[in-house]
Amino acid sequence: MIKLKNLERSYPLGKEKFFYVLREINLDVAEGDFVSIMGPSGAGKSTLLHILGMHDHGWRGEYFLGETAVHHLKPKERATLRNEQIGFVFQQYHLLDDLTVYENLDIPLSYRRYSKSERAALVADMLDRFQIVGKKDLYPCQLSGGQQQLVGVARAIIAEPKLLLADEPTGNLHSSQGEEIMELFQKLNNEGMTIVQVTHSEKNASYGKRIVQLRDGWIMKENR
Amino acid sequence: MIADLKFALRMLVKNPAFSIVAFLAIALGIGANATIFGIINALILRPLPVGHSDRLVRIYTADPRFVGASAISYPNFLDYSKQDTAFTGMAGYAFAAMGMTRGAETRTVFGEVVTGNYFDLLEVKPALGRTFLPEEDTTPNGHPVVVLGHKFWKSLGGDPGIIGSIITLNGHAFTVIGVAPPKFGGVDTGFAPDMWLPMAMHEWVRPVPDDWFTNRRALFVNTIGRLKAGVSLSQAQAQMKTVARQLEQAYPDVNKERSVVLKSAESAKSQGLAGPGNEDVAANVSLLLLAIAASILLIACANVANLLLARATTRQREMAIRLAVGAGRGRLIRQLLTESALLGLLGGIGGILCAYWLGDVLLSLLPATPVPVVLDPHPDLRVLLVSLALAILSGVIFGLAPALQMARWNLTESLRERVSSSSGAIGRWNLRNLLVVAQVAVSLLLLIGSGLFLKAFRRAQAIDPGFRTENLAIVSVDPSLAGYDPDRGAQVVRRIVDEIRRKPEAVSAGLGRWVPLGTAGGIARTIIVDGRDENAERNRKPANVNQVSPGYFETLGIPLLRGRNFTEQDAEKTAARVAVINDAMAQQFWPNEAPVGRRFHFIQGDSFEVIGITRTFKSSTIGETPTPMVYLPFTDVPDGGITFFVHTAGTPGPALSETRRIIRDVDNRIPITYEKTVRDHMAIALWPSWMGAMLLAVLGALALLLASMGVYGVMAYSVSQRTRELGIRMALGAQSSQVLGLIFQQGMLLAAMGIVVGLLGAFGSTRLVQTFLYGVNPGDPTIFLGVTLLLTLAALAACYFPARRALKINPVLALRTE
Repeated sequence: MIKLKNLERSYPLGKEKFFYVLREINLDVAEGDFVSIMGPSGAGKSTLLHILGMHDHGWRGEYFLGETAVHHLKPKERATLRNEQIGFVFQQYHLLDDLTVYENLDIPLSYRRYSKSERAALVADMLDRFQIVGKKDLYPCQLSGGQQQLVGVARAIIAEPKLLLADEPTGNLHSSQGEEIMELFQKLNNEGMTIVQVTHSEKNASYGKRIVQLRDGWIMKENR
Repeated sequence: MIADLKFALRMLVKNPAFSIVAFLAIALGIGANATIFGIINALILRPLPVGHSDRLVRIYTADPRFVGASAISYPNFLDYSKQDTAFTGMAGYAFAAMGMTRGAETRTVFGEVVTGNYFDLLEVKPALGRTFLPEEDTTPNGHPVVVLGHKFWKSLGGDPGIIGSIITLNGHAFTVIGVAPPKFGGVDTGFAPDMWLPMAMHEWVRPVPDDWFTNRRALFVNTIGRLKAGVSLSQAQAQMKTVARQLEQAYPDVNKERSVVLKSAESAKSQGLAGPGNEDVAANVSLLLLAIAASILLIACANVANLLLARATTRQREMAIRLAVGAGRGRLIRQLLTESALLGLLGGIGGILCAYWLGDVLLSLLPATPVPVVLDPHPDLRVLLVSLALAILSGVIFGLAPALQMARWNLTESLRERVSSSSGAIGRWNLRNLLVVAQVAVSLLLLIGSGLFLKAFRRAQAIDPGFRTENLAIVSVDPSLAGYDPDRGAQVVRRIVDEIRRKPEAVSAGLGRWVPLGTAGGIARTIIVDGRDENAERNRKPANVNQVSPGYFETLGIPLLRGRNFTEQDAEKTAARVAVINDAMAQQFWPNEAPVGRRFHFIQGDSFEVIGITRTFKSSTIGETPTPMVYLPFTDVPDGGITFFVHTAGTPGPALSETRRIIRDVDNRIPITYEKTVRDHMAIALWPSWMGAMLLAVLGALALLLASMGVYGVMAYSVSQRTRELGIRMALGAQSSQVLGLIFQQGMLLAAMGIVVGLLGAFGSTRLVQTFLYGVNPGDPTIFLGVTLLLTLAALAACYFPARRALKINPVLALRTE
């Protein structure tokens, strides 16, 4: 599903000097895989995830998503590809404060080619699937952290992406809420969704099939 | 308080972009107000530079047959002065143009002949020398003395030793006895005489050919009185009316129905600016301009309030910490108001400097009028204080809402890391959005007003004045100022006009007493048709009287509709008395009859036969209704001189200099009192409407600029506040067009609401200024649509830059701002 060859990300520090966040990253993620990226703060985990999510374009190397060579795509083509294939879950949930739960779920669909009736059906389905129908008219500030992240996950998968990227999805939740989210991820993975998550937690990583350890921008080791 | 001020200054320095934008908005708002207020101050508010001006009153003749209030006849003035009335004294003055000879050159100067007590009554002390002694106004031509105006003295070199020196006026030697103080220019705003001379010298100064100083019909003495202590204006008015009734009984033939009307000198000083019947124009126009300037200040205040509200959000944590360490909410409000008042004060200083500069610009735009207009719109202490007070008040007003908002914030919520992003969204109708809607509405209103005035000006330009407006040279002279009596004066001007006609560039030339659309369109006299009852009021109607030579109508391009033109024989003393009248007079006096061959007479004198009817032209103002006019043959030079009109084959400029050369060759002592091509002359006639349109256009443009700044400010702030939201939307797949759509939708919704409110306001209010619009429809659809389009484009432009910035948001960075 994903193939990275010699991927590097750096920021200029001065004249011909660069600070490398990621160095010579070579990584294969198969379809249906569940990969946890771990490492200390500043290791480059979130940067790698944003590159995979095509939010970050300033990298070098090769990135294949399925058969598509992302490194050859223009930003607009990458945006289209991302809309078709990738969903994103954030640590801080990033729900829109002024929109209800229902409207937050509808947002990704409004940016894709869905008819109004399709959107309504998909949102209703997602509310039902995540058992949050009763909260559809509430605003994010009226939900608990776990509930907000539940909505965040629902929003990430509502457009039926093949790849789900999650940046510390349980970082702001207490343990029982975190477990609930990780069980949900495992269920989605079992249903065939490819997942890449960044996490500090060994326990959360254990829900996945592989662990990739990053340190100072280098891949140190892989555990299966 | 000092600590607050220091902190406020530090905050202004710390945020230079905010400070500069806010400073500019306030400076523009206060600058516009200070400039307009400066003009109004100069025209209406600034007290007359005399002693106890509140006790001075102007006394006018009230005659139901004349429009507006008139001056008083000299004999009546003497009778009023002799009565023991409500006044400690009464003084009179009359305007006089004179020829002043220096070396080989004679130039026109403007003065006033005044009664001997004029300066004493006004309590004006000279800057140099002395003013008149009572005995200097007793013997006719006995005391040729003159008091110079301060500015005129400066123009002569400002020699402090000028007292006792001689100047030559109308060929007579006058001794300079004094120089008036710098600020004194008489009691009429807008006109400052070059000099003052005793009224007893009127024969030398004002060589009036007829009996003006003995005829009770001639209303030319402007009269001022000083109220006795404890006497009110209404008491004085009642007393003077009694005297007027006595005079009416004593001289029923001339004083019939004539009474007096009194006005305080302060309220009357600017009423002569727009001519008889238009006494309230200066006050009305001032009010209109003041309302516009106030609107601009409101827009500027709304702008700064918006900026402060935007900045308030970023200072939420600062305020929360201040509250946490013990500051009371009142203390916080005081500090924030100190900041905004300081901003207002600095902007106010900038605005006042701007007003000084704009005052110079306005002065440079004043046209060269026949009689010099004197106006000093520069801010004086009054304007300075009012503007500074207005600036500080503005500071408090625009600072109040943000201060109250900041002080209301919840302490614990404010201390959290993240400030809610919802404040930038359209969903909630916050004060910022309402302010932008108000700004757009007011600027739309102003722009529509400007558009209507500009269209009215263009229409005024296009109005056919009824006479030639191309290839015409106008040159006025007054031979009496060079010592010619009316008879010899007529001979000399005939000689000059004959010489002009011989020049190849002159197609035709003629003489006329009045310059159309000049300072006076004619002198009004009462006309009675022969054979009708003289005593019936309906048969006594006024008409303007002009004296013209053969060739006058052809030269001015005024067609003869019926009858015949004047011939040279008509001007002979023994010839039958004939007159040409205009169409307006024909319709008014003989509505269903053929006027040619009919006869009429003035209240005194011979009967005239109507020999021709000409088309009516605009004689006094471009917007006037058709005015009856009688043309009599030019026989001798009337009081005030005569004008040469020269129709040229090509451009009239060379004809001006050629006419000047001919006059100099004939007699270089004859002063040229006015010379212009007809196009330049028309520009003066159109100047008031041009100035009105220009002022409104500038103020409208200013309003547009400020409103655009307002929309831009709100949208830029909104984008910065929505960075996270926009980042999320982009991360979730929003395309560029969708992000752009979000920003434009928000900005244009505000603009559209402002436009709707502004249009409703404009439909309701433009009818109030209909009288200034020369027939332009106050709901003119092209202006309304054009301005709406202009404002929409401005709003689109104001949204464009924040929208472009929104496109550059990096979702990764935006999401990290948490």
